[in-house]
Amino acid sequence: MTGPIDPPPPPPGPDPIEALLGSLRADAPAGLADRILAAVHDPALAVRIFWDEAGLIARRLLPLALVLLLGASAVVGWSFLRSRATDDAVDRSTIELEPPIDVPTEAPVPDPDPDPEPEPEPDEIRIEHLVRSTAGADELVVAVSLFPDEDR
Amino acid sequence: MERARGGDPRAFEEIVRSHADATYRIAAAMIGASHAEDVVQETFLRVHRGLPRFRGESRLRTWIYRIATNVSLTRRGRMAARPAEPLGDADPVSTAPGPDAESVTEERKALLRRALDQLPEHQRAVVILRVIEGLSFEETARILGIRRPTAESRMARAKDRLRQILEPVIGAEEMA
Repeated sequence: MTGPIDPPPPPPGPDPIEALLGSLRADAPAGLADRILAAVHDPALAVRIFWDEAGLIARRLLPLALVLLLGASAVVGWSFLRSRATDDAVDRSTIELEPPIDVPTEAPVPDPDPDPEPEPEPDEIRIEHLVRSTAGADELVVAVSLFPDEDR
Repeated sequence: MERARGGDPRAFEEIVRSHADATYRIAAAMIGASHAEDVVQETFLRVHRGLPRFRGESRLRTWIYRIATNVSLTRRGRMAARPAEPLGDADPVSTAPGPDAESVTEERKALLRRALDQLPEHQRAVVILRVIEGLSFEETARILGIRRPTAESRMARAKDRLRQILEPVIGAEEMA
């Protein structure tokens, strides 16, 4: 006994999205090929395409040129600031090397009781000559120093 | 082909007549009908100049469509970016034929074009070549310079996105 055979599933229909989009197929206008052939041999089209391409290349290169310009400006600016900072550091170090100038605001007050200068030590090497006079009764002692500066 | 590469104008004319319509359809879907003819002219000027260097590693039509796609994408990028209008506020479009059936169809086409415009460029190109022009995934991938699985995954994502966009305005039953 065999049961009823299920009918085979219907073949899948076209994708609905594809069916919808298929309606967008445009019909080419009449005489298109003739106009193409005429245009291909027309130098005006070649000239127009040349300038279109030139404009396209310029537009593509413009951002690159701007980036390069900005980069170059940044480098120049950075170098300028860096050189200024170096100059400032040199100036500061030069100023620090000079001694500070002390400008007195009023005349110095003399010390009322300056310390007396210490007496120079008597020179160890001191030669004294005794001269004995025979003319008088009393003895005359004369000390003669060989160092006249200290002889006071 | 050899004659065209050798500069035979009759051979080049045959190439133009064979591929002009399909090239126009691709360009119209990519950039709009108002600019499509300019794109086609520029495409065939490039083909004319490039034929002596065409090595025949791919099919001639693949090469021509590739040039057309590149020219269209370049022009599209150059044109002022016009933000696509959201479709959320649009009235649902009736699909029943009636006295205004032609205008309804035009309205629906406009909706579809706007939905297509909302796709990312790389997904849009796959949809146009695969669905609108009916090329295989293999050829679509070759034209766009991508691998076949990449083309397939882009197509799947594009369909999901289009379903999300179109369901509220066209109706879930029709999208099922």
